[in-house]
Amino acid sequence: MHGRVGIIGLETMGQIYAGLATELGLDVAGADIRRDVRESFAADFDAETHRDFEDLYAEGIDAVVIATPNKFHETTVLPAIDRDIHVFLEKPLAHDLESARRIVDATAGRDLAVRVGYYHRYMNVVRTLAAYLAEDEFGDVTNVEATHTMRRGIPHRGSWYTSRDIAGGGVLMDKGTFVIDVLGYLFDDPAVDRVAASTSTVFGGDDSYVYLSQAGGYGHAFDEEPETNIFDVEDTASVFLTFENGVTVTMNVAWAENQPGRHEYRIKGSAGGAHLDVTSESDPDLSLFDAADRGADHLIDRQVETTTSDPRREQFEGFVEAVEDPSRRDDGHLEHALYVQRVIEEIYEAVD
Amino acid sequence: MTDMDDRVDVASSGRTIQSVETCLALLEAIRRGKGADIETLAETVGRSRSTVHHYLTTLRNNGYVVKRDDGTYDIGIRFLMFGGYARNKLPIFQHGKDGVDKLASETGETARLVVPRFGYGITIYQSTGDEVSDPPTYLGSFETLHSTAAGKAILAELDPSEVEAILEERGLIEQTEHTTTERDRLFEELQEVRSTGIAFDDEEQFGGVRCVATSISTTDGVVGAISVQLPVERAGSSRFTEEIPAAIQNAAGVIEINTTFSDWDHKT
Repeated sequence: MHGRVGIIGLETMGQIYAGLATELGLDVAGADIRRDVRESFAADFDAETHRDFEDLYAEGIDAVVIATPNKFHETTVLPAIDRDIHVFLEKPLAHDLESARRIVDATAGRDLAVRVGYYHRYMNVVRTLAAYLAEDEFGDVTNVEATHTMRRGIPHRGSWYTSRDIAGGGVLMDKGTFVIDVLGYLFDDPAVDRVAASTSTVFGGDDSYVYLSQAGGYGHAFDEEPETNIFDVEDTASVFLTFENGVTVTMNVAWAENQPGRHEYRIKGSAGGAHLDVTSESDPDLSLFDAADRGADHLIDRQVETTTSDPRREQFEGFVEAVEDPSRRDDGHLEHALYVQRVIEEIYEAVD
Repeated sequence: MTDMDDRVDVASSGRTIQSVETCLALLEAIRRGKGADIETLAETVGRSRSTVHHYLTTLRNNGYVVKRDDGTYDIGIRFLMFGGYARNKLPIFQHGKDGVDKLASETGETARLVVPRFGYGITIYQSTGDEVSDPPTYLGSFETLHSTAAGKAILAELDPSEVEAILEERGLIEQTEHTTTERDRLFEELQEVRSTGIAFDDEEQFGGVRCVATSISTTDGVVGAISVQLPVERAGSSRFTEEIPAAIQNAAGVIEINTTFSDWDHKT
């Protein structure tokens, strides 16, 4: 594709995708309702910008990346679909399930590439683990411990990111969606049988909260104080999920806790287990565990070595390929993103 | 957006029609007196009883004033049509109403949405929680900016020259013994409001009433403020200085974002 990609929502995430598009040799143009972010984007990418996304659509773009606050995904994506513009949405799909459903419904019968930025499945370790699971390598899986926590990682505290109304939720919406995406990928979007969940806000109202630049935390990536001071979401959640396939999940997510940050999955099966550690996305780890009785009884630990690449970039390249090649469009990504949204909603309902 | 022009401009220019001025003065006198008889009105506006009677008859025939059983006149409900019409056109009302309702129910107190017009703060929406029986403000009531939390939150967002113009026109009227009436002290308070994002009014507009407020700004600048008022006896220290301010900032932030992005809603 030698085309032109529109970016709507020019904060950090919009800038990341604009960078990827530029690296792929695409022209970018931006839209944002806020003048300050518009101006800095125009300067950083030497790109044309618009206040109104409709003006961006009208000038003729092949694809659009939606990185607005979650609540305005639907506002901007429906007119894009209407104009047959291919869409890459930053995750989550929407701020709530109804909005997510309307987006998915609008794509029905349209031959468009639509992707949502759940990128962990583009990591080779995750793909490998999924393949082992698909081949029943571990026997019957009984439980998965899933953890996605940061030491100090509240994203842009006080902004829309920490507003229930605009973002749709707190750490469950921001990080919990990543966890459900990975679990859905590994276990083929299993239906939820039961949910128990508890959330809390530990650091939200704490004025002494400190931002430190460290792996997993990206609060520091925003160099300006937000204009708003909103914090009405959970920053910590513990969830116990029972899937209809019998697998249970113990899930912990936190934007901030007094522990080193982790992003890992421990899979426990009757015939073996696995430990997937993606805390460092550039240096992930996958270990497999089982036991045998040849010779003497023994335990076997295996370390999986794969090549690594930037999964976000790989996903975006896949999107661009799908824009070019109609045969690569119908891949179930959108249905899967809706699955994630549905599970997160069920978790929130269990909390209320 | 045209009435943004009126947001802080206080002085008007150009010729005016005397009879319209008289009519408006009559209406204002009736409202202030919570109803009035012809004699009082004639005295207030400096016109003869028969002239005032003609005015009142005209207004009454059109539903703008009503005559009560005791022969006095009061304001008619028809004016609400104009206020309702004007209010419906304000994005801050469309996107602020739910947040004000939520704030009132969360706090149990009176929450208001206030917009600046002609150097005053005008209440365009008010919602009362379970604790409230008789709030001192109502839909459409207007107050000087320097004496209220909402007003100070708005003033803090304006250029000093705009603040000066408003103070010049409206004065630093002493609404209660607690009102800030010194210019320099008011500017110090506004500086504090800018740094914390929260404005307070400690019995400065109404005796026995405290107020907490924060401003709402869009890319067009400050468009209003959201405030919660509560009687002194329910304004224990942390409730007044921490809990309610946090709730207000949550509500105001959401209104601000929704109002800002509402420019994207007009086309689908």
